[in-house]
Amino acid sequence: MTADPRTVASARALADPDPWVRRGAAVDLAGIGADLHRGPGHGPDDTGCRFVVEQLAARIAAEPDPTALHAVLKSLTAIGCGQAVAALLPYLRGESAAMRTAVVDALSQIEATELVIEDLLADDDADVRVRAVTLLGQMPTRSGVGWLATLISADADPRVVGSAVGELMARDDVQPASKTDLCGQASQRFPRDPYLKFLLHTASTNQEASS
Amino acid sequence: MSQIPEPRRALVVDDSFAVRCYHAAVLGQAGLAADLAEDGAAGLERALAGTYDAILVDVNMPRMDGCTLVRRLREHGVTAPIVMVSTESGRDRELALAAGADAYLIKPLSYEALAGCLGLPGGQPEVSSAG
Repeated sequence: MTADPRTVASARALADPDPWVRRGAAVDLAGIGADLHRGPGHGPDDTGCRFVVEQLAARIAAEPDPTALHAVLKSLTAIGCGQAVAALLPYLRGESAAMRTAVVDALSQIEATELVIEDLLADDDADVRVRAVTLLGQMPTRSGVGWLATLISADADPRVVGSAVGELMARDDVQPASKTDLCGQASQRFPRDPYLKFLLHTASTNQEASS
Repeated sequence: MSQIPEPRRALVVDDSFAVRCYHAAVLGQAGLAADLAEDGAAGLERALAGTYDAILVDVNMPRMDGCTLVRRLREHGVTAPIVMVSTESGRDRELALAAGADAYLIKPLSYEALAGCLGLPGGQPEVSSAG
């Protein structure tokens, strides 16, 4: 697909020396990309918005200005296709906590993230699994409880299990008895972990109070 | 009539409600009452509005991450000991210490590790501390 002149001009403006111009270009590309992604005849992963996503994605690592970077991430969120998710994922493994936080926030607002969350929860890197639990907590998915329960019963890293239990405790859609049961499982698997012991005690107390 | 001494206070900044409650309980063991904030931006506001004997900060948080929060606190002249407490495996340690944290601990927080950082009785020297 050949990009139209307006798209090319906006893509060029992403490298302008003025951060306000770059910010405006990102906003402009969001509109173009969203139109292409949701336009007639285009599916969720259509190649229509690939060029736009590629331009924005290339800007994430290069953008020194926080407001322009915020605009780039917001634009990818607004486009919301699978390619936007794929462009954001590498930054979930980055060194910068600020970037990881911003990327988790962006991914949590894209519906297509749900297609990759299971892979992230099974990632080889425990830090990525912890971040995936945080991401899951910010997403409106109803499948979250099942995934959390799987992590609690099977993940080898107590930090991941602790994050999953902490997330489970915050959910309103889980019955107090289930929370106690899953906290008990986690505490049994890692009996020396004081955080898991604390959460089991809290869950039991809450269950007693609710019955 | 003798005056009742003010309790020592700490601020816990973490986006997880469960972690905030747990850290408040650990601080309670150390004799510190805890105020709670759910993200970096709320933590900054809270820390600048009060006086704290210690500040516990998570690394990954919405609105403002922990390293940015610590940097801002130091820029504002906050001198309280700041302990970063992270679920991460430790790859943020150098960044946290460079931002101005006094120590970096990996969750789960234990009383002994916290006491070690804050110079309280029963503390264990922490490999991850700045000192």
